[in-house]
Amino acid sequence: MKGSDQLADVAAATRRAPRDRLPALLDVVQSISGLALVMFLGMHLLLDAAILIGPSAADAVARAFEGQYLFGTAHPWIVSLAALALLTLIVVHAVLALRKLPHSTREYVAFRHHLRGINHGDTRLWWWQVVTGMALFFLIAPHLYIVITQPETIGASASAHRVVAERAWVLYAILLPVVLLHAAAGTYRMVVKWGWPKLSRVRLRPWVWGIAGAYCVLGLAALVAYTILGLRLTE
Amino acid sequence: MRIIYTDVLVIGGGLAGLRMAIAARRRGHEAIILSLVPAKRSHSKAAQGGMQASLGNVIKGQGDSEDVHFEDTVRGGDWGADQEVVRMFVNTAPKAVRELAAWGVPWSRVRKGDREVIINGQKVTITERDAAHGLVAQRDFGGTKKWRTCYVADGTGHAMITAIADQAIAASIPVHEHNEALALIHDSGRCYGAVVRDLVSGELTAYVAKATALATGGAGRLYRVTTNAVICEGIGQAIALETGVATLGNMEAVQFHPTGIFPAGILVTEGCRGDGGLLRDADGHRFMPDYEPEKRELASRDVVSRRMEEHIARGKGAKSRFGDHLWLDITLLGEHHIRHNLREVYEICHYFLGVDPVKEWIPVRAAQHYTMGGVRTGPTGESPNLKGLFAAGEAACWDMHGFNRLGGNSVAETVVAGMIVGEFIGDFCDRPENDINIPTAVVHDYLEREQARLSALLTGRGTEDAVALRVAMQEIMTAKVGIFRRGKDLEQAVDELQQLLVRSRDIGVRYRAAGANPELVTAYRTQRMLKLALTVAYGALARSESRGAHYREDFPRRNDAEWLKRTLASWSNESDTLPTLTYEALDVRRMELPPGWRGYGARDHIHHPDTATREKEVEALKAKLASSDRFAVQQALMPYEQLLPPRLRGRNERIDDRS
Amino acid sequence: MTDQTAHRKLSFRILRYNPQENGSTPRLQRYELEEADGMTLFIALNEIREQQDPSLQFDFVCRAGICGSCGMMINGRPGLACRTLTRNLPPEITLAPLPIFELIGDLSVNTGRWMRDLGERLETWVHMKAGELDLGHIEETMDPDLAEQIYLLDRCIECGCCVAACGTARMREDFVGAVGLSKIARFRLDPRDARTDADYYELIGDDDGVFGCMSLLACHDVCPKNLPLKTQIAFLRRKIAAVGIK
Ligand SMILES: Cc1cc2nc3c(=O)[nH]c(=O)nc-3n(C[C@H](O)[C@H](O)[C@H](O)COP(=O)(O)OP(=O)(O)OC[C@H]3O[C@@H](n4cnc5c(N)ncnc54)[C@H](O)[C@@H]3O)c2cc1C
Repeated sequence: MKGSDQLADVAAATRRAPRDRLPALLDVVQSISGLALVMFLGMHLLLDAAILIGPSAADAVARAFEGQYLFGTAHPWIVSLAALALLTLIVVHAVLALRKLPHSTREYVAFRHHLRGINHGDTRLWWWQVVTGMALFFLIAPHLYIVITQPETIGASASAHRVVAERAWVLYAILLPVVLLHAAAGTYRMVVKWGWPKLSRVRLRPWVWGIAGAYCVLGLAALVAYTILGLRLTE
Repeated sequence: MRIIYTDVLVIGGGLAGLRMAIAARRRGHEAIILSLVPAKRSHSKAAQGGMQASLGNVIKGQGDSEDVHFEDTVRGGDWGADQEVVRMFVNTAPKAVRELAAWGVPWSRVRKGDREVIINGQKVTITERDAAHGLVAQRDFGGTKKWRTCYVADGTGHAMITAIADQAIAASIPVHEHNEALALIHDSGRCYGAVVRDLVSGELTAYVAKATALATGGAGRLYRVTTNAVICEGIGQAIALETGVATLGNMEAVQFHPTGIFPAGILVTEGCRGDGGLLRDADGHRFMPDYEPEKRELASRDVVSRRMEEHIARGKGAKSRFGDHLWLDITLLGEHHIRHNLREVYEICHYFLGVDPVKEWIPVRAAQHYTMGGVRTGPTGESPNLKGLFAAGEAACWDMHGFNRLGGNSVAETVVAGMIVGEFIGDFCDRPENDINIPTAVVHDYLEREQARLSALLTGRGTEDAVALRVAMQEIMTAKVGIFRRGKDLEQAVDELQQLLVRSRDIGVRYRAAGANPELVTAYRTQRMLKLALTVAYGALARSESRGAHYREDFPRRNDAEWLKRTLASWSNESDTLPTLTYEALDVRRMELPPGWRGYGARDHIHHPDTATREKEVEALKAKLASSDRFAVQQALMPYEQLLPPRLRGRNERIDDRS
Repeated sequence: MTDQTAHRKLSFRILRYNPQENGSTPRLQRYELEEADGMTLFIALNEIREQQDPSLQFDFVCRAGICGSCGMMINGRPGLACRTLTRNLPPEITLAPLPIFELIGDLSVNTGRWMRDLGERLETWVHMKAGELDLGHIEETMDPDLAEQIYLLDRCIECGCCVAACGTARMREDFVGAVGLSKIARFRLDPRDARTDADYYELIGDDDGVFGCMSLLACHDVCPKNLPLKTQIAFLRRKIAAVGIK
């Protein structure tokens, strides 16, 4: 007894056009660039906190990045170069992320409408990720500009001077929570997106927000330390 | 008004319709499916428990065969079924399950080794064979000698229709959703398609086809409390009836399912009892063994439903403000089983009752469930009176269920009939003499007639309220044409329904839009449903015996001498208020299984004069062929294979054949 | 069904719009109704239609949470109306049709066509291995756990709630939605389907497919069948991305 003939199944076999790998690549690069930036941020904030140990510790960190312990003398342009690389990474990340944002008024309105109606935490979080991402364009630009153009002014007293006398504390006080929110939301999304590590969102959330909160405290403390140092210097 | 031509017009996108369309398409014919709703939302979706096919993979199904399935089905139907059709069915059912397995249905599978099951309230360990590991599993269902019901957890219908509808997409079969057939186009005893209303735009279109296949499902909404979907209104049967030519068979045979949740009527599957669930009364007492010591909770549905109502009538029902009910207890199955194999049941209890079936009992009461009757067809699925009209599934009376269908035999019928009837539709379309030759003038007449009927509702001065008429009809059907029937009640029911029918000719609608208009839909459907309700009530009144689901308190015995025959209803004249009933005798002398006791339920019945003779003949034949195999015996008793399409003939392999 | 409290007055605000009718414009219409025990939106809407407004359009079929016909926005969130008990809602209930899908009228949308298009586009059927089926033979075996896993994904009822809840789908018309992705995950799991990841890459390896998903996961949170959309989409993303970067 012969049963059903095969109607359906030619399609998959015949469709063998060369594969467009780009979408996969872009998706992976977006996540990897994000991950790299998050890791950088983590390091950055930790090292900033050296000021909490003392001005000399902060100076030592600064000199270390200028290659002092490698070459015997400090080469601030190393920092400039690193900052340039970082900038490139940020641009790549941002450009890739732009693909996900609303592209037109119609899309924007649709999303805003959706956001209000659905009343859904993770959807709201994504919106905040977008908003902070936008803000970071403006906040990171001056920060990086200084690093690239005046790498030699990184160090306990020069930085403290900038924070207080040049009023950079305003910038840093805004930048810090914004970048942490963005990084936390991004990390959270990355874990959820790729399903690794295998954690439910309920279990994941405390981790992400706990770590972000700790960094925020740490960063603020460092900022306060620089402010105190800066105030002392101006006196 | 448009005309669309096609080879095959399939009215209905449930399991039966989809499978017929696929069969026709594979035979090279163009097919269009019409459906009120997206095909996958047809009520086939709601089938939970499973599909019967004698695969015999599980240990409790060992020894199962077409023969056992045949006997169970004939007994279940109380000898009302066409035994040749039952044979065609049982032989094709395993093939249907296996085809669906290849099409992607994730049938639950056998796991080798020990497992604990609940049988008759006791924990029992059974051991599945190594050879069966990974094959399609079966569960126990009412009225079966073997575990035969193949299942996908408790979403069997869902998984089946998903796979079949996807195959229909693969075969590029168009489904015209939100379209309703309002009338069959026919001329001189030949059906040519249907007049169809677009439910969104209100437009009428004539679909003209070589073959027209009805697969419109059941008619549960004739009743107030039903497990059926809101679209199961019997319009397919009604438009066949309105041809005046096609007949409806056994419309009085209506099944009530023991376990509709109370009071909403939503079904919890028979699988609950098949897997070991118990029925309890107000005192928590398990009462079914008192009535049915052999099959207990797993007697056939008609019997269990009646016993439940009987028990409630004795004052043993649990009281609630909506009335009395009984309890279904599945707590003994354990959380794991309920969460994995009875997921839908769990969800339904959770969402609709706020009950956790792992810990609490479920309030249940019998509810209308299945329409055994339908458009009368021969074994090929074609109407004997209206050439070119085919029917399959619940809408048809192919007649494999007789007066009561077994759980799991219905979705099996839809697919099996879809396969078989689909082939015969292919044959029909292959024959050049069946080309379409109807004058367009005739088609236009039909279109205009239907347009006029709609306009009368929309712009006429009718004053009757369709909703009120429908509710009255549902009340009458539930109260007087229900599980227990009495001559006096039935007479009243017929009278009252006739009055409602007359009044329904004067329905008016408040909302007069010609396009999407739910009120208009209720109006024209109610008119048709009343005719259908009358075929049920009038047929029930005429049948002065009890058989299967049709139970007459004033005639409690099955009466083969007078009633071993099928009721055929037709509606000769539009102005009539009653159907015309005729009868088609069943021939005892050709039965493989002559009438006898079902093995449960009442034991006494009035014999048919030919029964004794046929019994002797059967005995003699069996004795003579004692050394032959079961196939030879069967062939000698009632040859049927010639009735099947060639590609669906042949035996079914089982693991026991391998060893 | 057991609460004996006095019945609340429910106030429904229902989005009315009939695109078939000339001059019809979207508006919110208010209906008042007395709550009853065990009242679901199925019961409430039918009561409104029967007693107050015969023109109100909505869809129900199985009324048991199985068929997926009655997805609508219930106080802003997509859900199945038939199994939503009014007692779990505040007395002010706003109902709107699911966005994204073609509107038929009022609360009724054409999810059927959307799903059919999706099915054609993603070829959501088992692509059988070549060779004829012999139906007389014993079926192929399948691991019981695998069968259950497939069923778990097969439980999708195509109600459209996940699509309506999806931020991406709201912005990008061609996004396949969680329903599309979970269907691919289902066929990927099925050994009866001859397709490979490379084939699936062709179907969903772009920004309208799995890479378009921004992991907002409202789909997962509203799915009436509790499908494991989060893990399935993530899993699929890994597998499909692997094909792309290999
Ligand atoms: C809750 C429930 C559970 C069940 N469980 C089981 C079970 O476990 N096992 C079992 O064997 N059986 C079961 N049954 C019975 C079985 O599901 C049905 O009998 C069977 O699925 C009917 O299939 P069908 O194809 O004939 O019709 P349906 O699936 O009802 O399809 C009818 C189709 O016709 C269309 N239609 C109707 N009227 C028109 C019209 N006028 N114009 C155009 N289209 C129209 C509809 O849109 C629909 O597509 C169950 C039934 C119910 C109600």
